[in-house]
Amino acid sequence: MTALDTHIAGLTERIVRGEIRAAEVTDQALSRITALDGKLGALLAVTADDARQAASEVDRARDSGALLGKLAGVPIALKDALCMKGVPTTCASRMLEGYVPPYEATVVTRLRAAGAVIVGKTNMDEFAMGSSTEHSAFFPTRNPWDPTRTPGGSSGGSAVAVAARFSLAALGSDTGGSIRQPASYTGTVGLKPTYGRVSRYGLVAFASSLDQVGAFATDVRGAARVLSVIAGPDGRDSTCALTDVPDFEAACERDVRGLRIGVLDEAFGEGLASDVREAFEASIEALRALGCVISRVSLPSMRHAVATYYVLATAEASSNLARFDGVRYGRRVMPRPDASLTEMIGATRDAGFGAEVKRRILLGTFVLSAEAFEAYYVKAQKVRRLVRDELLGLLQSVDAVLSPTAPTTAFPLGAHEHDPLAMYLSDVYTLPASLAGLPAMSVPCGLSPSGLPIGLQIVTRPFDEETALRLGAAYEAISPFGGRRPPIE
Amino acid sequence: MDHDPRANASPERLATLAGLTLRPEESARLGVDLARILAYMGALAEVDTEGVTPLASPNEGPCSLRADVPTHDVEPGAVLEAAPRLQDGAFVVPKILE
Repeated sequence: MTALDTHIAGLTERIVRGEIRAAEVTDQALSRITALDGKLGALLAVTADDARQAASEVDRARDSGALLGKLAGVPIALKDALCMKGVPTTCASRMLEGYVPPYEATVVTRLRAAGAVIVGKTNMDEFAMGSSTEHSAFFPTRNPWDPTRTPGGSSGGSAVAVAARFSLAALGSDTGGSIRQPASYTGTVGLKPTYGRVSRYGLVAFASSLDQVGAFATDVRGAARVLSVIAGPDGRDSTCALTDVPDFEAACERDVRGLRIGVLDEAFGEGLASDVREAFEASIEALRALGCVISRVSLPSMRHAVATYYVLATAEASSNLARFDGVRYGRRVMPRPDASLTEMIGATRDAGFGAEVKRRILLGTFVLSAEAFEAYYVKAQKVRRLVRDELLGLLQSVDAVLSPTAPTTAFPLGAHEHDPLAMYLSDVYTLPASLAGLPAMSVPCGLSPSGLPIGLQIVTRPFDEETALRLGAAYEAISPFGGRRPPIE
Repeated sequence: MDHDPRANASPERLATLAGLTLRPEESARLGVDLARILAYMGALAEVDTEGVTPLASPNEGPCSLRADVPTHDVEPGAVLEAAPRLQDGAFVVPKILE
C-alpha cells in the first residue's frame, strides 16, 4: 500500500491532517516511475528536482499553518505539449529536441499555485497527431493492462502515468479524442472540457479551433478538482471564454434521478466490438436503475465527422507547423555548408518531422490550396456547423448524450502502421463533441473478457461539465470496473 | 465535368508548397496514403450544405481580451536563446538570394 493507492481527495486530506508528508508522497511517485516506467514508456522526462522542491514548499506551508491549495502535494504529470518554464518541451518530436521554453502554460502556473507536484512530462504522438502514442519520435508507450497494446493517444503517456499511479492526475490535450480515447483504453477518467473553458496559452498548437486542455484522473472527483484549478478566463488566450467556473466537485455529489439521457443510435453501427457493446448496454441499464430517463437519439451527421475533422485538423496543423523552419527555435539541419534558406528549411523539416506529421501537413496543404479550398476546407467548415447544430439540437431534449468512448478496446501496437485511415476511423465516437466544442468525459465502464478496460463517453451542453461530472460520479460508484488497477506490480 | 482538385495532390507538389523535402521512398508511400484519404474525404461533397454558414470556431461567445498594453513576462533575450543560430541578438539565416 502506497500513498498513491487512493484518489486526489483522499491524498490531500491525509496531507492536510499531517498523516503523510508531501515529500514522502513525491518520493513514492518517483520510485514507482523508476521501477516501472522502463517497461511502459509513459514519461519523456522526470522532473524530480522540481517535484521535490514543490513538495517541500507544501510541507513548509502546512507546518506554518498556511491554508493549502486544492492540489497540495498531489503528483501530477504533464503532456509534453505543455510548456513548463525551464523544462524541455519536445511534443515528442525531433523538431523540438532540446527546446527549453522561456515561458509557462497558464494551466501549469495554475497547477503549481494550487500546490501540485509536477513529476514529469509525458509521451505522446508527435505534435499530438495520432491515436496510439506510437507516433512519438522517441519510443512508443505501452498499455499497462497489456504491454503488447497501445494505450491510445495522443495523450497516451498521461493516461498511463495515471493508470500506473505515477501520478494521481495528468494533463493532456484533446483535439479529436486525445484524452477520452486513451482514458478508455487505460481504465482512467478523462475529461475534455468545453472549447474555451481552459486556456491554451503555452499548449503547442496542433489544430487551434479544436485543441483543448483537459485532465486524466483516477476518479471523477479528481478530474473535477483538477478542472476547477485550471479552468477560467485568461487574457493570454483570446479564445478562452469569459465564463464563471462553477463548483465542479459539488456537482459530483448531486443525485442523477430524472436526468434525461440520450443513447446514440449511431453508436451501434458497424465496427462496434461485441465486448464494448455489452459493457455499454449494461452501463445504460445501470443508469436507468439510478433513476435516469433513457431514450434513443440519432445524429445522422456523425457519419461525416471523421472526414470533416481530418480536413479541418490537417488544415490547421499545416498552418500551425509552418513555424518550425529552423530559424527561431527547434533544430536546424544544413544539408551542406552553403545551402540556401529554402534548402535549409526543407532539410530541417524533413529531419524534424515524422511520417504521420508529414502526412498531415501534406493533407492540410492540399485542402488549403487554391483549387481545393472551397471543395474541401470550406465544405468541411459547413459540415462542422451541421454536426454542431444537430448535436446541440439533441441536447435540447436530453441532458447528456452517451456512447462508448471508442468502438473497440486497446488495439495491438503496430495494428494500424500501414493503414492510417483505419486509425482515423477509430476516433468516430469522440469527434462529434470535438467538432462542436462540447464537454465530454470518458469513465471506465467495464473490463473485456480479455482484461482490457472499456470507457463510457458522456457528452453534455456547452459549459455544462457539471452534468457530465454528476453523471460520471454517480455511475462510477456502481460501475463494474470498480476502480480496478492494471497488473503491473 | 468539374476539374477534380485531387489531380494536383501529388506528394512532390504539396511538399514544395509545405516547405518539406521528401525522400523518394516517402513520396511513393505518401502518394498511396493521400489518394486513399482524399477519396474518403471526398464523400463530403455529397452533403447538402446549401445556405449553411461555415463554422471556424465553436466558441462564438465573448472571450478573454487583455488590455492592449505591453507586458514583460517573457524577456526577448530568453526567446532569442531558443534559436539554432544567433548573432548580435538577431536570428542568423542562410542566404536568401540564389
